[in-house]
Amino acid sequence: MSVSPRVRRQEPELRREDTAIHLEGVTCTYPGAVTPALRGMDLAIRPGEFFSILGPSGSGKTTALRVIAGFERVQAGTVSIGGRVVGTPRRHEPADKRNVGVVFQDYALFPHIDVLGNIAFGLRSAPRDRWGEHVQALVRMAGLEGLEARFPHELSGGQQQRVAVARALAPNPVAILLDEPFSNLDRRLRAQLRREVRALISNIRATAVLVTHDREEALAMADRVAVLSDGRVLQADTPEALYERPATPLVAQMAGPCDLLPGRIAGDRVETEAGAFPCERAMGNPVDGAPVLALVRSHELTLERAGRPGDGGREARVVYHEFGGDSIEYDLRLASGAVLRLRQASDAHFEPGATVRLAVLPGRRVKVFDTSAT
Amino acid sequence: MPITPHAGKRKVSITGLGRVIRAVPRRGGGHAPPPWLAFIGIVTGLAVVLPLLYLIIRTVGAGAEVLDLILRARLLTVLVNTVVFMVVVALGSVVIAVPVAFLTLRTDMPFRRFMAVATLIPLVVPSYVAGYVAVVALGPRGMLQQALEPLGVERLPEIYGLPGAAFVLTFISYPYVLLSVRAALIRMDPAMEEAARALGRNALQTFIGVTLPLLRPAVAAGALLVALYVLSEFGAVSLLRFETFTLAIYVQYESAFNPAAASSLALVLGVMALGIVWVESSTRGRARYYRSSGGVTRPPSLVRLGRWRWPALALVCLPVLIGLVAPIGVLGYWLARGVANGESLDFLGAATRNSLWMAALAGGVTVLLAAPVALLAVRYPSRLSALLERMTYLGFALPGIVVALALVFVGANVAPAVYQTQPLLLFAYVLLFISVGVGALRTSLLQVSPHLEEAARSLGLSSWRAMLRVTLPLVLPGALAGGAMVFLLTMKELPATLILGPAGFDTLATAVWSTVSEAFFARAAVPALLLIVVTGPPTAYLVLREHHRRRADANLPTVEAVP
Repeated sequence: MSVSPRVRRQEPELRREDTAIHLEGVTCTYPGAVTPALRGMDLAIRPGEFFSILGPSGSGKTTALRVIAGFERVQAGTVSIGGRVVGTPRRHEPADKRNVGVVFQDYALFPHIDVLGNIAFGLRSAPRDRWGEHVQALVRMAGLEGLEARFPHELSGGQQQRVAVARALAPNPVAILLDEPFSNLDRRLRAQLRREVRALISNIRATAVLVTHDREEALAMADRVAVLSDGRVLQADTPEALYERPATPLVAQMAGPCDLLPGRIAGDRVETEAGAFPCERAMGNPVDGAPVLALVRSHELTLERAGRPGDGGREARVVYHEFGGDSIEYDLRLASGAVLRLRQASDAHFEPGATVRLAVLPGRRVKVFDTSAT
Repeated sequence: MPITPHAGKRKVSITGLGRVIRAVPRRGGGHAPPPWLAFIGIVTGLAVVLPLLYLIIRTVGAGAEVLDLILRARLLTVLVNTVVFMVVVALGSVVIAVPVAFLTLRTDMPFRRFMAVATLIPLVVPSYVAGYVAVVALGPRGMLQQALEPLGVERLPEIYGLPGAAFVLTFISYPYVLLSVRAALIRMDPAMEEAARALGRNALQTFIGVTLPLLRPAVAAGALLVALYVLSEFGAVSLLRFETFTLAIYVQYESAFNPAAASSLALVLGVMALGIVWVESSTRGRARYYRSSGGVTRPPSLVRLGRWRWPALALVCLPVLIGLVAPIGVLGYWLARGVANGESLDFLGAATRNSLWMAALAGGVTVLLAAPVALLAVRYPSRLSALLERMTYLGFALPGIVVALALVFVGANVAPAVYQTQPLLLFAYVLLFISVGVGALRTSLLQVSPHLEEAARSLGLSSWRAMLRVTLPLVLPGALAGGAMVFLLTMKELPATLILGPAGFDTLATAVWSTVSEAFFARAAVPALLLIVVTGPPTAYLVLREHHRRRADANLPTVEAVP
């Protein structure tokens, strides 16, 4: 595992010519805004890849999508689509020349045009009989048969969304960009549509970029995920790598529920308020005694009733528990008053008020981040 | 369609004047507009403002004379008359509108749905028609007095002057307060009143302690709108010989041939109008708390009137009878009398043609000129576009006679070629009503999400084609409604047409006014009825349509269903 004091970026071996979408040092500031929404952003997306951009609100993820689509100009850097430069501070190719499909959060279906007309909207240049078959194929794939003559307001939310996806795919775009496309749907529908949309896009082998703030969505759908913060990419990797090898504390938090405990390095262990645990260095190379953040995830830890000889773990008190079927979530108060939240299998059971001891599962190591490096 | 918050819940004002343009641009907004669009917008804005600036410069430029002229023009009397008139009509309108709104919306009064619409209709009666009806019906030796003569009634209370003018104006302008109060009552969350009831207040205590205070901003907004309307009113005060600013200005200009005095008075009147607008927009900020917090609220439970149900209906019928039914009856009577006497109606053909032609022209041109301003305001929000939008509202705020006078000055001194021609009259209409066009287009544009245009762009359409194929079809209904409203307002417009119309150029409005002024009462009945028949139903339709849209504002979908 590579240990570097710097934030990891996109793998350098991917050349611009081989990418579907390529951003290099892109800076974008909205007119009238003081701080840029993107600051020197690098991104390389492979052809046919389902890529996701994940970040908290205000991290610049929608701006990144708008820059790729051609709705925003860049103040620095280069935007390339299919290996072709389409956006620099001096040259801006408008959206209608880029051949990139966009699915908006509100779908933006044309309310005065029926479903068929919406899907075929981008095909105006081809003769009508030619696109007839193509559009019919899309209608079938999107499961919209029988709805062709309906108007957008006569469709359910899920149907509207499939129309939006089919419309964006119809002109065979170089890539399809999806801006939080599931956020207007209720939870149950969301999971189902996620699969349908994923299948639809994979069938056509289109390159897709999904912008979302929903971790579950990004990790479930994407081949690779870029975690964004403050207009920069913190890490771009497979979902597994983001979870197992987060480059920064923020990436760790974005990749899965966890707690970050302050501690100090002592050899191959980290001393924290919750105890001393075997550790590995995930960011930076902190020396003995250096302050670090220890990444604590439920599945790497176990709880034991206090009083038995432990593995260096200190005591904590259960202050709250929530039964969740196959697991129980505990709130543990540490000596300082800090509260740690842990999910444990429900076979062991601790009542509020019980004193427990934390231990790391055999063979596991807690990841630590050098706080002096950030 | 997914329901998204409507344009950041912007502040909506009834007059459309107190709008606060939020400085926060939407994502993707704040871009510089295309130069040609900005250019057209700026030219339109300047065209609205420059004549008024010219009026100010010429008047103030006259120096010390002005003061003398104003004083000689009996400024103080006129000022007192105008202010008293304004206050009386505004209060009268509130006194009528609040009970009517409550009875038609919150009680089990019979026919309440029908009455809710009927009570709004009197606003379609032009003021000079109402004034004419008052003169012939209530004046000395009028219809009422003649009917009462067998009972020994020799004299009726004086109809000329303040009492008559205030009476007439109140019954055609209370619907403006009613519209605003109704909207507030409908949007009010019944939970607040239910909470008061649950805390032990009875129905009446709840009405006084909770409902009325919650309605206060809406009442104030409606009353201010009425005040503005009264301030610019010319037709009724001139026929009922009550010397407010508008009449004084007209007399100085037309009869006393003293344009300097007229312009001085016009300046004072203009300042007063802008003052009202300023008050309206500065109270607007607090005027929103009656609005329930989004979503569809349950209909409130109705107050049971018991044996007061029918008396309540009678009460609510009263303003409709006085403001609408009686005037139409009187006009019908005079029409019959005119026909019986073989009254000549030769002048009608030309007047009708002129009215329709100028109104159609004004409707079309106004919407075309309003489009760039609305587009700038909605799609390219900036200080400049907000300023331009405000500039177009100036024409709406200022009384017609002030605008007309400003154009007279420009025509006489700068462009003698257009003085007293149809183009200058058309310009006056555009100036007066462009805000209506801007408002209508603005509302429709706000409902077209910028994402729709962006989606069209990403599907390969140039910005022009995206505008043509997506934005235009969606905005068209709003644009047509705006154009229709301008058409109707132009049909009814009186003072500017009187002052700026070419010699011998009559419209239906001026025909009514001049025949009544010359006491040819029977001859005025036909054009007056024609005006009401042609403009009444569509005006009522458009006002109600707008009213329902505003009501639904809280959960207005992003895009309107069109098919």
